[in-house]
Amino acid sequence: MEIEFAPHIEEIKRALDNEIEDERIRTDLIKLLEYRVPLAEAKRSLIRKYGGSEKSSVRKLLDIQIGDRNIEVTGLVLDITKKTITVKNNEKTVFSGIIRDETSARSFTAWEDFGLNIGDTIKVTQAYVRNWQERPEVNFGGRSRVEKLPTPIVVDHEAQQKKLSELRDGEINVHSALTVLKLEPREISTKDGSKKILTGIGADESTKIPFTSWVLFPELAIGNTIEVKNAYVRSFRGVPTLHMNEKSVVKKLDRIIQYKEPHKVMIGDIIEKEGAFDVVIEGNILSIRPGSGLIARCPQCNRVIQKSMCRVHGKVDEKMDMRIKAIIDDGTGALTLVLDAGLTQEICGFTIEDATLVARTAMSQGEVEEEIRRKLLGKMLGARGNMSKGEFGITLVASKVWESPDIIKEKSRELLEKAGYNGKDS
Amino acid sequence: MEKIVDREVAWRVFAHEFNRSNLYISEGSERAPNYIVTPTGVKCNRLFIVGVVTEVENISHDNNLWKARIADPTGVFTLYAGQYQPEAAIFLSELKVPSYVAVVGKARKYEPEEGSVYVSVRPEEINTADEKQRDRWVLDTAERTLERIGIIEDALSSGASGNDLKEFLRKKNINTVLADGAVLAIEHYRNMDKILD
Repeated sequence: MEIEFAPHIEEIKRALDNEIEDERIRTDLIKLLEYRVPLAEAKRSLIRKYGGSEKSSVRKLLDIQIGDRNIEVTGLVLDITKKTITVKNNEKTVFSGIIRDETSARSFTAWEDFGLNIGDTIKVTQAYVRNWQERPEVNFGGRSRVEKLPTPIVVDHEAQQKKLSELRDGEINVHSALTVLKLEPREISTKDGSKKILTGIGADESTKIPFTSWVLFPELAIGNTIEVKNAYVRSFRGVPTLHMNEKSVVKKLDRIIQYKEPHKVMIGDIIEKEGAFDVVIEGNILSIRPGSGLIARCPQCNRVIQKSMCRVHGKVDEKMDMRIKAIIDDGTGALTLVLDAGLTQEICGFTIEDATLVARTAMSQGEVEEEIRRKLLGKMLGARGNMSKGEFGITLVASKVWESPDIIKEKSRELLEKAGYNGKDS
Repeated sequence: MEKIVDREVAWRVFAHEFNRSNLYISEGSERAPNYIVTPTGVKCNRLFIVGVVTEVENISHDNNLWKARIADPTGVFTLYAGQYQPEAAIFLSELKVPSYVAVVGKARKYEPEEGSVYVSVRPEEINTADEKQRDRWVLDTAERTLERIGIIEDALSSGASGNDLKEFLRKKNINTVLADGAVLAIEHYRNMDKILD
């Protein structure tokens, strides 16, 4: 086996602080290779043997991936909290927080006390990345080396400001601006007793987003346009929601961001996103799914039940309800449209009582589903609501539904123009 | 999270285009869906039609097999409903001709001998419709078809093919399925200029 050893030996030496003779490394390396140890592994084990550490590869926080080992990151500590956790019945103190560089902010966990403080700019080698709630988290362990840098890195906050449409589940240290459209104080119970929070809906020019504020910021008032820093995003029922807490900074802006009512979007476009809040679609009803029509629910937990038996509460006095689950398709994409009893009544023209009567006369709950199928299948409907992706596929829960208006004349004119513009086609 | 298979889009295609499709592909394993690739690059597994039923015929009493012809402004779709589509078969057997119907169906092909391909539709859902629904369908289908013609024209003028073309179309923000279909269509259908007329 003819291998040029010199470059590998050089590489090993570079990773080591102390001087080791070339010849020793060479002998060890050859020995390992005789055992058919792969070259990369051989080098790694020699570096470990001589007490060095492989050089960490430098990563920007945006580029880290779950499973990355031995990386070097540099960033600003935005937040740090001491926590006590139990690992294998032993109590252990760890520090978790947020670190940011110019590309992104990430959560981190330090498994040792590195004496970190908020505002420190640190360079960490031998860090690794683990999966924390489906997101990459930087970990500093026993072998990590943390160096505080004297010159803080400048993170340009203005450059980081994001449109609401760009926010994704799991983002932290979010900087954005929005106008408060709806606001509702709520009282929730936590382990420290009850707590007042604010929930609402905010919007920028093109996107609406629900928000939750764990602090009663006075700037949060209907009509105010606010700038928010250090907020974070969590998905609730598949829809990204902006969260603000005591670490967030909220400032009222002088300018007003005006939200424009949504235009119709093509289904093919929105299903490529992870979720969408308050969008309008239009398409044909292509299938009425099983479980549509008249259904019975448990009065206690609202689960759909059969024959008055709830799988949690046993025999109960069932409560009748009505809904439609239908496939809506506009030729670019398809999703499941869900209509509640009120919307079902609006679009089909019968109440729960009417439906109960239909079912009783036909002696089958399925008859109501059939009736819905006869009424809606093939029809073009418009709907507005929130789209999410989940284990049941892509779903839009409607807040409004309507039969598409007759726009045949306008549409044909528009199309002729388009075709004429293109010249020879059609 | 395990990704569930997305529902196949129901494409809007005119009968004229559908009927002159003769490229049939099936991806990989036995249970993978089959597609008919149309000249404008629709990788079509499911389609949606609103048209006029002009003829219903019971072509096999034994299997209760019904055949229907559904006309749109450009041509006629052929529909077969047999024992495995009992609801559609009953619907057709009771239907007065002519009448408007809306159909969701799967694209099928029949190739009695090498080179002669007959395409048809196997209904999944069928319902009565009205004139307005039909008109709207014609417009929507025209709109989608024009979009696809635009993509094919772009693709042809780019001069690229295969993966390069796919990449080119992706950069123009064209949906993966359509880009895929366009590449297949351009490889398969010769003298595209004539077809596009």
